[in-house]
Amino acid sequence: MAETIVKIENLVKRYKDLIAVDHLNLEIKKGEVYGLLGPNGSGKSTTINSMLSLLAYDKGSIEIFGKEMTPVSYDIKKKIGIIMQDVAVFDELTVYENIDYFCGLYIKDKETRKKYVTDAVNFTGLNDFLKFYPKKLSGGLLRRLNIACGIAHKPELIILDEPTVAVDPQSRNKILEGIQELNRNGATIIYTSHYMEEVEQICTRIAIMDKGRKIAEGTKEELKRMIKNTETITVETENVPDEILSRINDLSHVYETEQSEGRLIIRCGGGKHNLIRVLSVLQEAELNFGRVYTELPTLNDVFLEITGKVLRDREE
Amino acid sequence: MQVFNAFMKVLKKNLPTVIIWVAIFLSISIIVSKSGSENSEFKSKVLNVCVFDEDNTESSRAFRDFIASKHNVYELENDDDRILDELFYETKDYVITIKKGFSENLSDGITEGLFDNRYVHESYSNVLMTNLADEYVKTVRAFLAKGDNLSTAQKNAADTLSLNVEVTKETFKEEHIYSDDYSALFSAYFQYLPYVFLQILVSALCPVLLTMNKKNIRNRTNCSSIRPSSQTFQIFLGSMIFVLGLWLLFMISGALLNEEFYRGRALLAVLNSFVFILISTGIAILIASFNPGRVGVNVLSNIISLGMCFLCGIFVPQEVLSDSVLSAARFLPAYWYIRVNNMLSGVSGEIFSSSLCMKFIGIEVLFALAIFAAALTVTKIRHDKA
Repeated sequence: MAETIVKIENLVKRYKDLIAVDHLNLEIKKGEVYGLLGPNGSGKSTTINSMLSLLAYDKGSIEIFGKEMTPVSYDIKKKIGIIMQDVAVFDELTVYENIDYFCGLYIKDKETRKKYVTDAVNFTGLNDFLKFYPKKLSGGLLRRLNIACGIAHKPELIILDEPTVAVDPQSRNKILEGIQELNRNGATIIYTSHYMEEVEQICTRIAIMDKGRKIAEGTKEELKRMIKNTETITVETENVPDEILSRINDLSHVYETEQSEGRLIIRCGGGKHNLIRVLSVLQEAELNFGRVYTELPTLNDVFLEITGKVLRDREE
Repeated sequence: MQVFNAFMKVLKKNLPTVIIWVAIFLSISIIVSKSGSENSEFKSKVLNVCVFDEDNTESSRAFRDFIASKHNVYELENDDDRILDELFYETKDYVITIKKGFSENLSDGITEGLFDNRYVHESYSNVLMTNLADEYVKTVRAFLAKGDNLSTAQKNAADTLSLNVEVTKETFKEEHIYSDDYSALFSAYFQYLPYVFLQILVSALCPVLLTMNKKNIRNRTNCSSIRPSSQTFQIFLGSMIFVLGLWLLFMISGALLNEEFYRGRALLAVLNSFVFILISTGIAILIASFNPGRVGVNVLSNIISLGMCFLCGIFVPQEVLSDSVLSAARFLPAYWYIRVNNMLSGVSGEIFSSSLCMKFIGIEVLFALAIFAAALTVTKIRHDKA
């Protein structure tokens, strides 16, 4: 059984009348990439800040590496790397000086630090920008610098709080690949995001949070198994008559149909060959239709089914 | 000492501001000290005078010689246009015509209407020459009245008016008010230091503190294994090294500019300036604790430094400020700084008392402590809220 790295029990954090974290329990094992998924305001960052003792919480306990985490747990802090949502670097220092500064907060020995900084630079691909000041870097490079500053001291536990916000797709992929490589090198990762694709891509275990509570936890497969939906078939067509809709609804495993904006959406729960059966009905009725596609359930479907609302923010 | 090193690197980025302020202040001080170090000398002005002698007597020639002993006398063609040109182009300052009958009238004791004068109006040469001629005539008349004949009277008058009296310029001194240890140059140099200290520290130290205390960076540093107390200490150490360096730079520059080292009362001025730079540091830290942003820092540095300097008697002497302004200024530290400086230099006429000086400096220390306490309180409240 893998060693427990983080154990949170019954954590409660209130801001006056608002309960930001509501009796949260988490257990993260060594070597995991643990995803905290939830919409903005679901309590992910508050949980992270409480874990790091940046916030005082009202109730509960937090243990990291088997010891209680307090603001003076410097031996624990030594083993943690943090990459915040907002870029936290000095505008007045160069890329190299920034990484060296944050690495130096953990590593006193100059020679070791130099090697670690070089490793972090290589890892994040910032070799060509060492003498650049942060203001001269693009958004993606800035995020990479932010990550380099957080991982340079080779921490055992790395906490990434929405590290890909406002990053272009290319840089985002590079960051995600980097996180997976850090995990392969032995680091345990806690990754918070409201981008479900990212969480699905890199996390070995996921907790879905909403209104400060953990509403589901498991691997992505386990989470998807929790819900009724196994397949969603979309047919581009106009005004499907009620009679045909009723025939589709009567097909086995179809549990819901929905017509909107020139599309017929059919949700199935289990079974095989659902698409063929739906197409047969449409052909028999001699109905004109355009593209047809089928999707497996996503974490958004999981979130939708559990909370009754979509996970994605509207602006995304 | 990672935090200290980072502090110094960030400070380095703000050094151009410091250099500009130091250069401006020292340049002005050099100019003032150079102009002040020259001895004040008074020389009698020599005018270019043209004399037309219509009387052409021994007496009129004696008068002409007398003028020649005081000023440059030139011959000129007696032509109105030419004379006016010479006056217009200021090649001649004054044209005097000794009217016919000068000798007779002078011996009869008549002093009016002896000359015709032409000069440029509103020129001081007018006053100078007219006075000289009047003085001459009056002196001759005095000697005539004494019983001298005209030629003797003219000779005696010329001798009398040629007498030079050696004048030694001395400033009124009262032992308890003035001191040789603290010259007027020192006084002027120290007078403006509060403005420079406030400007430099608010505009250079504040941005560094703002950067070091940026929420994101502070959070990241707090997540590391460095203790907050060590972090604060390193920032404090960096600030103090900068402040002490700045203060030493100004003290050494002051001594070099004034070409003498500090002793006696000047040492009190040095202490006074040290306390004030601590006050300025406190003000910079207090401003930074409110996190006003770079633009805010610029605005506040001007408001605080200029406001304090005008209200407390740095730019305008305290003697000319109204009582109500001075009453309000008592609640500002610069007021007490200037009180000490004025007492040390004696410019306000306040009798020097070392105990009173120390009392005023003590009030400044209390201000410094209060400002530091306020800065710490604001910082703590803001950190707790965050």
